[in-house]
Amino acid sequence: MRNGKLFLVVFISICISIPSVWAQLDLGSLADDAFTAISVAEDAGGEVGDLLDGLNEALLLMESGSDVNMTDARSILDAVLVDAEAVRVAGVQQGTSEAVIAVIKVVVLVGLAVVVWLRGDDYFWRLWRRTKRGYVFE
Amino acid sequence: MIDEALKTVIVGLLLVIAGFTVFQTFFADRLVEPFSELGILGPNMKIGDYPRELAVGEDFDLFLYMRNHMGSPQMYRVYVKLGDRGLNVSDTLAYPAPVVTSYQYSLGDKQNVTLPITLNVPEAGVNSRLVFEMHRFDVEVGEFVYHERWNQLWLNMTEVG
Repeated sequence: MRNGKLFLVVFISICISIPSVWAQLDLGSLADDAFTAISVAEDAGGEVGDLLDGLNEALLLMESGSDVNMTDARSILDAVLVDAEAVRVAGVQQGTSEAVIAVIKVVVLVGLAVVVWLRGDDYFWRLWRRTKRGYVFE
Repeated sequence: MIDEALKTVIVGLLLVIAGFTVFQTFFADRLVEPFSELGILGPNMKIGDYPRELAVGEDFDLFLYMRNHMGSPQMYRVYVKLGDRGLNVSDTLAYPAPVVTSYQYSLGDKQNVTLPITLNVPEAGVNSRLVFEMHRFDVEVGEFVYHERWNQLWLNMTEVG
């Protein structure tokens, strides 16, 4: 009879703890997904500082193990996953515009180099004459 | 005529600036030697004053220091494992001892963190080896992998009562 009661208590404890353990494992996997999304966003050139702060906040809440904190951690991780996608898209756009600006800069600089090399003398003396109008040759 | 040498210098300078622009835009993020740092600091947040003699289950405070030089964000997990003198720590394989606890934190490139931690050891033993082992989340593999960084503390744990 006594053993039966003990068995019942152990069984109920296990039943109660299973959802909590399962939730923690599930959250761990959600944290992994959130970090993967952050890595992808960073690879795309996004600014991920705030996302990492959010992830760390969730990780600290998960360490405490209480149900309330688990719920908060889940909300934060869900938000990180959504925001990471927006950061990735912004990163791609910024990366593209930076690349375009860089290409334009290089084309302008190389063009300028070619002009200086081929017509540098003409432009130099024309500019010189314009700035020294009153200059008298002797 | 302007001096040939002057013309060469101007053209050279323009080409150097163009080259720098290309490098800055497309190759600036490349890292030569990525690595991470792991450190255990004593209760006064310094290297030293580590506990040596403790009672089983007695709480003690330490600080866990991590720094990321990997060139990208990293999520680290530090396992605290309890071994002994007979079980050596490897630079390539995770320490095969029971896990006491673990800590997880993510860091951006060139960021560091010093986390206060409170530990207690559940078993008695002379020259117990408390190993702090760094793992990092490998996005390619989708799981934590041993990052070949570890620290250890030697403890004498005595049973009380």
